[in-house]
Amino acid sequence: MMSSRRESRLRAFAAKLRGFLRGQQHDDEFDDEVQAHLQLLADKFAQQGLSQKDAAAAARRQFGNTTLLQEDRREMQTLASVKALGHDLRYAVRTLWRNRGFAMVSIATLGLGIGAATAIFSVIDNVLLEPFPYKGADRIVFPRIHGAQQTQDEGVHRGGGPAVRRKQSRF
Amino acid sequence: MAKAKETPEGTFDIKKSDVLQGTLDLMILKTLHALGPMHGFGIARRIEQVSRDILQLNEGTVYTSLLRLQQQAWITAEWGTSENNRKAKFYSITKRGEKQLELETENWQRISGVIGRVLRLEGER
Repeated sequence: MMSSRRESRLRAFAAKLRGFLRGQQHDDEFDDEVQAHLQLLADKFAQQGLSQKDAAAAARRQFGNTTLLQEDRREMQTLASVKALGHDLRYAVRTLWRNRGFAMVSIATLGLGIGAATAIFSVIDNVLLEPFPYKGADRIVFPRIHGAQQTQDEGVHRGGGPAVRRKQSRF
Repeated sequence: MAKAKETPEGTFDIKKSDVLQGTLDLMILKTLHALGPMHGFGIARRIEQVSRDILQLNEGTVYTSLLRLQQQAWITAEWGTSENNRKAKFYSITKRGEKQLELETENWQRISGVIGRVLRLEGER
């Protein structure tokens, strides 16, 4: 039914972002608004002859679940997932701080593990997988003439073997 | 519909259904367009009055709807004082909202026209 679904999503997201940056200050305002509505509704029922208590209950019934409404509103007005992520991170830091020894050991283990893995991989990468920093390094060839006097290996690039053989033709 | 069980026969319950949610948005937009700036309570009363108790409105949902409309910049809100000198938030329709209302009204009429025609189909076998 929307004019443009993407635009409307974008607007909703922008509103969420604004709400997120502005923080919680809206909760109280919204509470006031809801309370005022409930009061007016109760007044209306009281005028229709209900007792003060029944009128308040009827107003609450007709209004619906206020807690759920607050939750819906929060979800609409702020980036709930980012907030949750923030809470989780803070919780993690707190827990680690309380268990400093454990935190140190975990961090050291992770650090050494990642460091070692990276070091070994860079060595393998440089030596075995991608020895020369040129494009198409596996196709580099070093031609030499057979039957000449020099017999020592002139260093044909590894992996280039088949390419070399293919390119060699008897004169 | 979440609470269909509690709804008396012959009434409709605006809650979870997307279609009805959109309808509530449209009704609120129209109410603000027709009657000028209003607070949430006034809007709820007006819809209750017009729907003649056929719609079971959980009035809290009006505020969710108002928020949705605000996020799309179809309405704006401003604090003011109500008839009985209470502080209240007044909502009014914006230019964008007017345009949207026009569009949605057209849409609604087209769809309900089609559905009406389909439902009237009979005796052509």
